[in-house]
Amino acid sequence: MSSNPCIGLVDDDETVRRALRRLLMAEGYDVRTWGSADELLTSLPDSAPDCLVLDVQMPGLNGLDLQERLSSHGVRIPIIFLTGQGSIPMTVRAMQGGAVNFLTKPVQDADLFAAVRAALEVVKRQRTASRQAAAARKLHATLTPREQEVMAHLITGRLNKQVAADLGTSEQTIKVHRMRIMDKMQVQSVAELVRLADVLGVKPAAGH
Amino acid sequence: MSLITILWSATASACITLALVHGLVWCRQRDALANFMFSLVALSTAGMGALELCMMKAPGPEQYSTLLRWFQVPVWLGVLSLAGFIRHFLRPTGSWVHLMGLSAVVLRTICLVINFTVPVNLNYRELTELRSVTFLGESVAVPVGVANPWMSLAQLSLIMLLVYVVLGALAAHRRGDCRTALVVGSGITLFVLAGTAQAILVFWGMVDMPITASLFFLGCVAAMSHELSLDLLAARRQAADLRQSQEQIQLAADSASVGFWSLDKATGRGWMPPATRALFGLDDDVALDITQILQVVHPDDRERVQDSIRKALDKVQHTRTEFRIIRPDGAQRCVVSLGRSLLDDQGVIIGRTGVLIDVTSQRLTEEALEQEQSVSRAVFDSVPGLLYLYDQEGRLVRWNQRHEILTGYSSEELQHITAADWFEGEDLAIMKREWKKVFNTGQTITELNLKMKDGRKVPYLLTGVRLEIEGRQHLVGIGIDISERKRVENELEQKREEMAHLSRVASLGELSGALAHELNQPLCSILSNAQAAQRLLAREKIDLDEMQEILADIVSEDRRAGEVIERLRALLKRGETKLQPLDLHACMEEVLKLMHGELVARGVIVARECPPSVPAVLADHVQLQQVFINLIANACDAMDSTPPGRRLLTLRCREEGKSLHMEVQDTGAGFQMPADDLFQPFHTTKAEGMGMGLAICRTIVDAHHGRLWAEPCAAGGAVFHLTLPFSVSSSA
Repeated sequence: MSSNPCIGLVDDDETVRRALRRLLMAEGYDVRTWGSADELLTSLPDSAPDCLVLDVQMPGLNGLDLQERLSSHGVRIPIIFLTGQGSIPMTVRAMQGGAVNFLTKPVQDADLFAAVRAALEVVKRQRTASRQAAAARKLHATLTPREQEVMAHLITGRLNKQVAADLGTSEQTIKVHRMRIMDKMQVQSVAELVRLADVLGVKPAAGH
Repeated sequence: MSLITILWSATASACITLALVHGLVWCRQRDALANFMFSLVALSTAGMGALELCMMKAPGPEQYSTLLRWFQVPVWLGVLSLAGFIRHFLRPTGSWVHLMGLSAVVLRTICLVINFTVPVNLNYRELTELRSVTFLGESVAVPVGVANPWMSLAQLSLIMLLVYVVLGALAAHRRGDCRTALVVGSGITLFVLAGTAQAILVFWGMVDMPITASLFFLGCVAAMSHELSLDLLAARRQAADLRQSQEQIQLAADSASVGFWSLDKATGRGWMPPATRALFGLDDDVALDITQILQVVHPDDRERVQDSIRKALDKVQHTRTEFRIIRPDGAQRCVVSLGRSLLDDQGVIIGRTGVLIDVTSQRLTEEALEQEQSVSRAVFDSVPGLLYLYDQEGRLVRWNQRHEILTGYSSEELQHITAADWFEGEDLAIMKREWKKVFNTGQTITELNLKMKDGRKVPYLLTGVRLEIEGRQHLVGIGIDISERKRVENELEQKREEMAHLSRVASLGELSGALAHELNQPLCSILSNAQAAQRLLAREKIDLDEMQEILADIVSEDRRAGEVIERLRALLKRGETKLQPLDLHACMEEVLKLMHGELVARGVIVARECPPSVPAVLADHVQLQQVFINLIANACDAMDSTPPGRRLLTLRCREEGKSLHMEVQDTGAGFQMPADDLFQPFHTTKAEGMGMGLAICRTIVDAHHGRLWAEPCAAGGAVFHLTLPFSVSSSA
């Protein structure tokens, strides 16, 4: 990762592409541009930008199609959409697809930069989250299978007594498991444990 | 009876017969003085013959002397009448010539006086005895005596008479009448000379024979009679010829309906040949006096004719009077009478004579012609517009009355007007072309503005047909004021334009999203460039090259936005139709540019199958763009249900004869209803459509003399066809 964040720009209109590139570069971003969605897709794995500015209306794959395509490829880059004329259904679709923002052309620099900053913030958060997740996963891996099982029950927020009943063991045993789990997972409260479970993707055990 | 008696009696009787015959001729024909003179000559010869016979039988000198004295009377008469005959028959000229004849007569008259005053007569101073001599086997008395010297005076008169005869014969000869000159001249000369010589010889007693002067005169008479008879024959022949020529004249007169008339002033009686009477319907036995003739004249003309006759009888003049007559059978004729005065020797008017020409058929023809003309004039004037006849040089020859009313020009002004005076500018050029066309192909019909006298220009429908009059080419035609039609046409055109405009606005409304994109692209570019520049300028080190590029981009993008706006403004404008040569291909490309956003948004791929260049069509730019926008927008709509990637819009154009053929093909749903229903107003398959788009497109194309229709496409979808004729200048 270089010092400056890299913004990807896809617009079929060359002059618009050039103008936006100049603007973003003037603000100090690195900018990579593509003339169409296909061009981007072919070059993607190697050089993924930190965020994408996509024109919605493009020949061939349009901006929204590209969003879906990226999503289905598991590529998670925050996207800012630009459109000459946006409709509500279009906006809804974009936002559902995880768009960071939906801006109309001509776009004010402040708006664009705000959106870009927001997107980069998302990236930053994502990266922090994924870093936390990796650490949590490492901690989670130290748990015994029984402890993992107990944890799934703990994050449901039920009482020790109830969990003990669910697992057919004594409340005391559950208390011990709980202490060890909290210790291993390096958390102070169940709430924190729940957050980590969320990061890990651990599903709360089904209740009775 | 003795031979002498028979001979002399026969001579006398023959002469009397001739005298009677010619005397009668003279009685019938008082101007036949030659015949009268001849009659006298013959009579005197008969007298001489009778006296000679008596003298031959005279018993004594006394009786003989008396007879001889009286013998001088027929001789005098003979000389007198002979001179007269010469004068009237041979007709010598010159006063001294007539003096000769007159002198002979005067001398002879003096001789006659002497004959009766001097004893015993002109021939003898004294007649002593009679001798008996044998003559023609018979004993006859011959005088013996002293000759009278006065007798030479008689001989002188005879010589003068002969000179007169010769001069007369010469005059006849000079006139070319050689035979008459020879027979009469030489006959008279010969016989008078012979008779005179014989008489002188007898009187001087040189020969023993009686006086036979009558025999010699008989010779003269025979010669004269011969010529007169020939004259009579000639006269008869002339009379026959005259009758024939009169008949011919009459025939000619009849066939030309010409009659003759004369009027005697003194009696008031008129004369007409039967044919002329027939013209008047008057019977041959009706007396022709002025009143009678006036009865036949048409009552309306009667007074005028009477007045004219009265004046013409008072003053020498030639007259020409036309009047109508009503014949007793009721038929009406129209006649012209040409008359002149008849004068006597003193120049006093004694009547009038003239010819009468029947001009009825002529007048009828004229009347019919006039009627025909008035009918054609009425037809001319009943034409509600202009009616004109021009000669090939462009001069206005004939026109109807309305021509003057409508154009404001007077009849006098129109006479000096030429065809080119009515037009100006382009109209004049067209008129000149059409003018040639009429004389080349026979006819034309065209619409032009006519310049009236007050300067107004009025649209007219003008026709022209070639017409040959008296061997010269003319142009005849009518002109109809079409300003009302033009006004209605203009109104309709305005309505159509309004509709087209509304529809255009509606279509653009539907396209507003795509159009906004078209406009927003350059605006975005401009704004971003400008804001980038602001930031770059805030830096310490300014990259001028970068700045240049930015500004260049801003300028070009601004232009791009301007073009879009210009295009939109043209489409939204409520302009009047302006037909001009148009590159349809370029027009279509502009529409594609304008609709670029829409096409992109809808995922429509455009394919073009067009030659690099096509001839221009005569069309209104904006209206044709409207047609394309509609067709393309419809195609896009139709392909909504088509999977993305297969939304193909194909545009084709090609030359087809004298027009351009364009096709707009889509891969959409196609249509199930009859193709023409698509063009009905308010027909729509869209939720928000007005259903006027295609209907208006069709009216636009119709107004361009083109065709617009749709066909289903075999491979699915629809294809719209558009044909437009090439503009004249490009196809020529």
